Amino acid sequence: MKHHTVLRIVTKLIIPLILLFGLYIQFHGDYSAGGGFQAGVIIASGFILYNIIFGLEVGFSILSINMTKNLMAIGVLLYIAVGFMGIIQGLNFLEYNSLLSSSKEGQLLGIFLVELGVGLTVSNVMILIFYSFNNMGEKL
Amino acid sequence: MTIALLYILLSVLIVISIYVIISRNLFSVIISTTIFSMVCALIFLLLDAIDVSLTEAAVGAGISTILFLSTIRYVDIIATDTKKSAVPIVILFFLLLISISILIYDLPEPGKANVVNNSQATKYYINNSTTEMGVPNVVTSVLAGYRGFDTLGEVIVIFIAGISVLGILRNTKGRT
Amino acid sequence: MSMIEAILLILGGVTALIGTIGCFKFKDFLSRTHAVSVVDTFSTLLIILSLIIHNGFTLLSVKLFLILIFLYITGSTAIHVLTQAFLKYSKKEIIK
Repeated sequence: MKHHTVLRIVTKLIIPLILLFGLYIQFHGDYSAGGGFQAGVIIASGFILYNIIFGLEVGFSILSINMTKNLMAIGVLLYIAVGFMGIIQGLNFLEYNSLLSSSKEGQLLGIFLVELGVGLTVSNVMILIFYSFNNMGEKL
Repeated sequence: MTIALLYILLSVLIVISIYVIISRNLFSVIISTTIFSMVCALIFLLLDAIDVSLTEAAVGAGISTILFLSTIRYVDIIATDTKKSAVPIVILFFLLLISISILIYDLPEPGKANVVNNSQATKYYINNSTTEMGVPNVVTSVLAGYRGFDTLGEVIVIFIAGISVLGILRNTKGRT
Repeated sequence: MSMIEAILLILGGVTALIGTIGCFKFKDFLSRTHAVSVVDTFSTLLIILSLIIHNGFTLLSVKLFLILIFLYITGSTAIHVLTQAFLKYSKKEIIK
């Protein structure tokens, strides 16, 4: 669909807005509606739009399948790592009080890292499912 | 006024569901599922649940549509052409609808203070969330703070779904 | 100024209704997309204009204006893509 001029120009205008909006929703989960799940889905839809308009080869050169698989696992591992920070210091699993100096700041940092892990995993799973349906196996 | 609008939107949901059951064209069924998700997001907004509404609009009307359309392109089917009539399924649908509506009358009213599901934990979350966590949004503080272990389970389930799709749709032609 | 807002809101709703009736009544696909595009642009302009007048000159009005611009860009592109796909893949004769 690259030779359609209108689609190409509008996509170049809209995709930065979509990614920026996804990041806004990810980091403002504390104050308004948002969090990891919604932000992951929105960022994935930005990448999928780029893949539809400009072709799968260009999309693979930006975000390859190995990167998607690795990021998917890194999200879950980040979540579990935050949980293990509590066990290292002798307290419970997923205890945020011990992460920073005071208890409140520890909670804020813990929630921030946990939502980051959730957002990474959800967005990469959606992109991976889209790649799988479009004959990903031959490019492996 | 809100209740009248809710009843109108719920009846729209029932009409869309009947169309999804009866229709033979898979493409129009997918678009009807998108409209269903948008009306659900509107209902959640009227019930003051903005996090759920945003998630429903993003997942149901955004990603689900494009993944279903990719499935149709992969499988190469547009319309099913069986000769069976859809009347028994519509009757079953109405029986299910009536039985679930009767069950809903026994549920406790949301928001009352002395009901069984508004127990000690809910009161503790509402009273102590902002002072203990420092996060103004109670939904995020409960989801990622007080109940962080459940969210870990959800993330692992999404991860397993991704791995399963990778395992099923892998192309093994070029491998030894 | 609640009178102007009420008139604009009602006009926006009536325009949406007229466009939707046109979507059902027209016989040709291209005419139907024309009716839908009228709903997409004109009706949203009237409704958002009434909300801007209601809120005055605050940050919320700027946000509503940006939402209007975003809806124009994406809505018009969607109708354009629909029409291009019909012209390319349809097997019927288009009357020139």
